[in-house]
Amino acid sequence: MRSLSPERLAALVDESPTLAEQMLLESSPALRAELAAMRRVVALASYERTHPGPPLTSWGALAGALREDGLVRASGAGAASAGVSSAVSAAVSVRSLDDVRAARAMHDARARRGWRSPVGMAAAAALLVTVGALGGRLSGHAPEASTSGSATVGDARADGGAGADAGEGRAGGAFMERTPVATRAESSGMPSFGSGAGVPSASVDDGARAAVGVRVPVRDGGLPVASGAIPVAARLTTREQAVRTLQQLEDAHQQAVSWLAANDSSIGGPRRIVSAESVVRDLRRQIEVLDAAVAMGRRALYETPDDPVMNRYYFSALAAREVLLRKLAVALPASQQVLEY
Amino acid sequence: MTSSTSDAQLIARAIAGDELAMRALWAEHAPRVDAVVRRLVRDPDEAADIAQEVWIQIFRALPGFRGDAQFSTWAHRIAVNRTLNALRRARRLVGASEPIEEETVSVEDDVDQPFLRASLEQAMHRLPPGARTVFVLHDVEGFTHEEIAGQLGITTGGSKSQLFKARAKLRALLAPLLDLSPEDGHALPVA
Repeated sequence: MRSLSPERLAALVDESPTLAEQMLLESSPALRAELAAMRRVVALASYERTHPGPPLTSWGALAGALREDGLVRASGAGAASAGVSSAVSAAVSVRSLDDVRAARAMHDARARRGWRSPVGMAAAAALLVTVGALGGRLSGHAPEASTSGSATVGDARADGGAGADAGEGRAGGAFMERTPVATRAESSGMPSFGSGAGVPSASVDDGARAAVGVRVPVRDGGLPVASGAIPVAARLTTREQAVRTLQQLEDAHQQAVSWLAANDSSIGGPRRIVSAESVVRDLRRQIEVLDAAVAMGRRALYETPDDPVMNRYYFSALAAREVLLRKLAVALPASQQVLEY
Repeated sequence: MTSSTSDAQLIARAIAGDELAMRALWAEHAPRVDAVVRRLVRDPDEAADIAQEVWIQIFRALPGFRGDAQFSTWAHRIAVNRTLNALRRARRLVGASEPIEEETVSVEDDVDQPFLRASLEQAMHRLPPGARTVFVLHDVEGFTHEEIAGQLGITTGGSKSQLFKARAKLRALLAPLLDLSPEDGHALPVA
């Protein structure tokens, strides 16, 4: 035997060599180096398992599909308020009204406790500040987005989105071009987002929304696709109304943030010359801040897992983190990619 | 609260249609579940579509989850099965002995671990579908040859053969990155 084939060397990563192969390896430094390189390939592959990288899916698109599939049966926080069982089987059983009331009382008590707890309050405050600051930073990178009130959806499409008016809800219209949700909404006859704030949005058979005066166009699954008008002084009368309104506004907020992230002119834009390195460095710093916020939010949710407000702050932080990861993936040089965070 | 307890609560709520719980499960497990799809499917857009199908399937099948295994393991299995089915539908698992592009992956001077890993991912996608699938399932995802043989409908010997061919080709594709100096035969550390 004078040499070993590459396939046999690959097998020797898992298998023991024969006596002849052992002697050959001992006599040949090149073969030993080759076997070591083969082991490194396998080690690298194994390392991949624990470092999966950013997800391929986005919750926005997935949630729409789940609603169409009928898998989402209730408003998230509303369902959560019906009580949590640690046993999987208990979840599918039908609860009596008394059970629901008892669970609600327990939940409310836990939520109040949670908000009074230092961790809960600190987490909420940190997440609010962090997400708000990041949202502001994202929008701050696109000055046209907040000032060109006369911009139309057509403008946004023509110039790549830089001129869209996110503040008046037209950002949602531009975002629609980029998402399956939007396509469905447009095909289902949703109103134009360039109609302006004075034009009524699509009427929605939703008592909660009507009661609080939120004029947010809603696609068939229930999520708003753009905000024609954001309520200034909502008259909320029930917890369900508040939770539902919160969810709608949060979704609209996330869509606006996503749109700004996708159309942010600060990367390579003509008005602000910044190096790719500084953009990447800034993004990494922002992600680090969000990581800390997410970790704090997670700790708080362990104490108050049903709290709808904490849940939404937590998910807002996660969504903002996902947006930044996608931005980072775009900002990195072509030879690099985001593999883990 | 342990992770499994947390998952059990989330699963209970997700089965009841609680969107927040579904989202929490997705946020927790999407990186690993989506990663297996990305590794098995070459085209990024197709991988994203399949990953979404996988998650819909996970939530559809959730009422049947008995808790015998960790949710992550269960979801991972669904991801593998669903992705392999999708690839089978596209008949891209048949050509396991297709010729492999022999060119090496691009090389840069500042070779470091992240770049090496990125190159591994690129190189994996240059393998024929069958070899790539076996390599991903065995060396990345940790399946045994018996499990792979059952999944793919091949023999364990066939699984081993594909794996060793895949490793050999990957080693060749990554040669410029793995070898510090061809003259002295030393190689870069990987850990």
